[in-house]
Amino acid sequence: MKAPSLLLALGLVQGLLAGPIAQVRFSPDGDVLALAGGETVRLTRLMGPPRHDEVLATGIKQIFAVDWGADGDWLAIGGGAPAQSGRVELWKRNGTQAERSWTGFKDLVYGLGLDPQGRWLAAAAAEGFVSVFDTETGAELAKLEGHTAPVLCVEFSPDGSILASGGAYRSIRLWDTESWNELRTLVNHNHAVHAVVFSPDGQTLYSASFDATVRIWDPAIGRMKRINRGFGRGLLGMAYQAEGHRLLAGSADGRVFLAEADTGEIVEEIASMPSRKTAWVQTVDVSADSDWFAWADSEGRYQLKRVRR
Amino acid sequence: MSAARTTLFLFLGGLVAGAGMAQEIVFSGPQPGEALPDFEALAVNGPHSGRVHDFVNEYGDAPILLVFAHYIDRNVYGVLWPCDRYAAERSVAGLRTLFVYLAPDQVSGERRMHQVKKSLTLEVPAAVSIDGVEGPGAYGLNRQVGITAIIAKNKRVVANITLVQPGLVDAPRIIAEVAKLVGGHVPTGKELADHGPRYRMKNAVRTPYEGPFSESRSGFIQVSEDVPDFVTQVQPKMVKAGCFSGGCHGAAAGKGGFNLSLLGYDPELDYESIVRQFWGRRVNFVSPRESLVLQKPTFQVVHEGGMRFSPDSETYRDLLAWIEGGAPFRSVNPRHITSLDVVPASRTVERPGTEGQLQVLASFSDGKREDVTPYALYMSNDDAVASIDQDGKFTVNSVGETSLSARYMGLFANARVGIPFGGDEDAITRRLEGQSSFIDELVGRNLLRLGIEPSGLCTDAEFARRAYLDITGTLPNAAEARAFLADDRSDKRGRLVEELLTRPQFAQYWSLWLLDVLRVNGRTIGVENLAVFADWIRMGLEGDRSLGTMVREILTAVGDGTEVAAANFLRRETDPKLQMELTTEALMGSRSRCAQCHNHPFDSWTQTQYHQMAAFFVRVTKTEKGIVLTDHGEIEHPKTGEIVTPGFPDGKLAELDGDEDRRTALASWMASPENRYFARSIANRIWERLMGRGVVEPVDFLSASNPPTNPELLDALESFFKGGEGNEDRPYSVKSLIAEIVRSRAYQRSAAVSANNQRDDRFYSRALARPLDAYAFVDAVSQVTGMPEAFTDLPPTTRAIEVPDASMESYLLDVCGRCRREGSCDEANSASGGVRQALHLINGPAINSKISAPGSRLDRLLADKASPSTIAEEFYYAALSRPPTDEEREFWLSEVNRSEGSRSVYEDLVWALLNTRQFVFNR
Repeated sequence: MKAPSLLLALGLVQGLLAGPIAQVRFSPDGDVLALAGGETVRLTRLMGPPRHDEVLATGIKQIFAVDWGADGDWLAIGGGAPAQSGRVELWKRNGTQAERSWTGFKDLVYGLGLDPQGRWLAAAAAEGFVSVFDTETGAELAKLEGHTAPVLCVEFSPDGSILASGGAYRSIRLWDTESWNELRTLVNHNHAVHAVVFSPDGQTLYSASFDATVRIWDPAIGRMKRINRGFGRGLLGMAYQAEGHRLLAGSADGRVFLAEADTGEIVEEIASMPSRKTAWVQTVDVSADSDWFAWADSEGRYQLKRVRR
Repeated sequence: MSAARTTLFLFLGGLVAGAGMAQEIVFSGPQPGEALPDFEALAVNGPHSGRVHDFVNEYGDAPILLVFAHYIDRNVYGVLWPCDRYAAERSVAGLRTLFVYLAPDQVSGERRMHQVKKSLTLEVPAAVSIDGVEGPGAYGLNRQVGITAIIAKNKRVVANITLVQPGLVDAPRIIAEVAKLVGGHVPTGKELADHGPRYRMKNAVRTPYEGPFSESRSGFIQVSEDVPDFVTQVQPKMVKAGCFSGGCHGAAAGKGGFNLSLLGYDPELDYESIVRQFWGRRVNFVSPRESLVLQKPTFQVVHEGGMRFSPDSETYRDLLAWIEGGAPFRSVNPRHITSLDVVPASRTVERPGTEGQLQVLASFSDGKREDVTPYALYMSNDDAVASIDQDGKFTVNSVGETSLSARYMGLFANARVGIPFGGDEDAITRRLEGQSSFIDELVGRNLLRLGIEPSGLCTDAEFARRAYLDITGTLPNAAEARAFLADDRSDKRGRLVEELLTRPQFAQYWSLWLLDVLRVNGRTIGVENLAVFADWIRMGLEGDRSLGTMVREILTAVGDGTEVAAANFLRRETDPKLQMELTTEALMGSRSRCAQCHNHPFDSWTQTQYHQMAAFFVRVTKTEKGIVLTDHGEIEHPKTGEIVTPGFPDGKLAELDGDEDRRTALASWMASPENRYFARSIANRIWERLMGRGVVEPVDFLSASNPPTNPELLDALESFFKGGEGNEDRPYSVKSLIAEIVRSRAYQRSAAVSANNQRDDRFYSRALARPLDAYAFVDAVSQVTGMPEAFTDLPPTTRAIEVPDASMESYLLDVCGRCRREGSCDEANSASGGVRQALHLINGPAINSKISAPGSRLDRLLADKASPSTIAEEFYYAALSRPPTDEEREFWLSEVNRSEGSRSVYEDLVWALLNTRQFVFNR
């Protein structure tokens, strides 16, 4: 078993980058935390001896999205120049340059999702569609249209059969990954949907919205099962903690909540960013082993919390 | 993002240092127990700034913290600012401090230290070494280290902390050593990390809390004094650029997914939209110039709204500087606007086409007064008189006067501009002679200023008709008209006014007006309730009750409305917000409803004030017949979700006494001197009803952006109504104000126009012809024809002014423009029946059947074999309150003779009279 770095061993670590952090993502093996924001992706090593952060020199002007492949060998990065162009790059874990890149977007890419088998890369476009690329050939497999406003997030179901996308205009759309046809539209949120997350068994879909609610859906029939309010000023990020069956959610009032996944009820406010009146917690993540939480805010701060020892 | 700008540190900073993870033990400077030598350095701040000074000598035996910085970078900053805050706070305990930068040369060192001083807002003395990078020779400083911190007392070193790689985590160590001498709070690494350079030590004086965004930013950018303030410097410029307009992102639905508040009423929301929404897509902190919020309006990126400002504009520069400075919501020294003035406040010119420039000056809470002319929004109240462009340049287009409004940060300032009417001053003065009332004096002053020659006084016949209609809603009958004309007493007009005000028709007629203002009808509050309420109002007016008292009662009444008449007003609405809107619009002439969702763009109502006012009504419940109070219920602010305390539009909160009815406080305030709305609004409404045009128009829009045409007159009317000079015994008396107005020469002017005053429709140089309202018109037709209008389920002799329920069906009243009181009646009454009424007069059976009906006045006169001349005179007196002129008489007699006395000619006579402007209008 690898030992956490000395810094992590102390329990709670925080850092400061030179711009808002749009997304944090643990590598599947938990060794590295990817921090995306500004024009860089910074890879912070969490395990083993302390090392300088690795900074990936992407060709993307402003980075808004990052996602690891299931095996941790690939890292997808997305963003662009607002209202001008969008770009997605696919990097090997220890690569020095992008292995593949996709352009052609006329606006930002806000969210990325790699399917569990690593075959497809879905990109949530500010232009209001989702592009699905073949990671092997680079071909665009599908352009999923239906959202009427920017698409902010995408997520594949654990078995890869469904792609969920959340949009700025309140809707969630589910897509069949065989035909790439739309399965159904889930409409109930009152504000932009910033995160969609599947439970490990794929039977439940969770959505987090700027309307400060977490809604729990049955994706098979499209029915909303629960709604839970009270998540501060509005949610911008959410992640699932398998061990403990919890949801980690970051709010625009600088708070980070832990909620019961079955009910969506808040069980704990686990953090409050130092200047919660101004900082928005924009992104959260849970390590694959459920031991670590990470979150980051609009003022460049990120924090890691060890929840299990 | 440079690597140097990235730090990773622990909350438990001391542990790291203690573990000696990366720090090798080195020595620099005098060690504990050794003497602290004097030395000179170049001061960069404080009283010695710019001069070489020996600080150690000055400090003597006091506890001293001496920090030598061997270089200055972000990590050194991390040590300096916590020490600075701590040292500033502990100066009260005698601590003396000096930061010294060991610069390679004085010039660059001084420049760098000035930057440090500014960035960190240093409060303790700072200096530059005059001995170069080595520092004072007697100190033996080590050039290889980053910081040498020496703590001394009685000129002896008590601690020396030498840091090779200084950082924020080291500051608590230094402070802990100093605290051993002077006490005070030693901050933890977490506290420092959390709060950033604006951190103040515990017990130190803190900046007062000024709203949710007033806390210091502690993120990646440290805000300095140079960074523009979003609220007072950035947003107003974007508002001016049009970004916040209703046609652009200020629209309710925004534009292109980018929502801003209308004209910037909600800076917090706008800040979030610009800086935060969609993970900050609009602001690029790494490359500020590439921020979307700069590239779109400068059209560097395609923008549907086109180019709003250029890259070399001040707007662009300020926006860029703001983003470069971290795009904070508030600057280091937040301020707010306190007042707005426009120069010139008044200007008259000679000729159409003359141009001028307004200058707009804003005063701020920091005492500064700034020229904001380029960033104000402008509008004219009457483009025909004067127009204004968005640079504040105006053009006077025609004779007259209007108001030009400048809006900046939600405040308004107005300028009056125009061209005098050119009347002869002596002639005007002569016309105005003999005036005694304050009304005449103030109207006259305006006429003289504007060169408008007033028309002469109206004839007795005109006055009688006008006064009867205005006061009683009833035409004088032929006998009354004859009697008044025959009266040769000099004060007969004043006598008539007093007499008319005692008639029951006065209270009947004016109660309809008040019911219109209050917008109640049988449908909304119940037929039985309406009858009770209308009766209560009628009796109140008849008995000359104070309207202030009546309003107090209608705002606080509880009980069954069929028994407690006053309880019926609020039954008009069930929602507390709608009850509040009804109250403010009806009783204060102020349109508050926009403020439910946002601060009013053209008024001073804020969203908070709206909900504070609504909170007065939240415990009022409408029952089937009345009003009851509950002991619970609160209004939540839609933005903050917090419970709102009841408060008044002037910003003051109500002082409530336990379980007391909240409305009591509102009712007390309503007719109090603090309330500038109620008396002003009612006085303006009464003036408008009698004069044809309010001093403020429309009468339900008393607003900073809608100034009166004669402010002094409106002030005086308000004052009089409140019980001011001349009306001390009758405050809030409707009768008293009516009498004062009707007795004035301004009211009694003729409607005849002269070449000079024909274009005046707002300064009261002549009477404005007003269409009869529906009630007076229907009654007048009935009176002239002698055939009363039939109202369902009411006695056949019932007059229209005796029908208080506007929801009761009456085709003729509706055709003639009756307001059903489903909404505001202000527009309905001013328009009267319009075209529909005119068509019915010409062709409608409702009128024609009254003329020809058996038993009509004409029928009776013909049956009595009255002479053609008598018949003509009878109808002229009945309809126009005067005899026919010789020409008119001759015409009708010839017509009668030509038709050999045919009844149809007489019917034509009546029809023609009912269709004259003299009949249809009150002139």
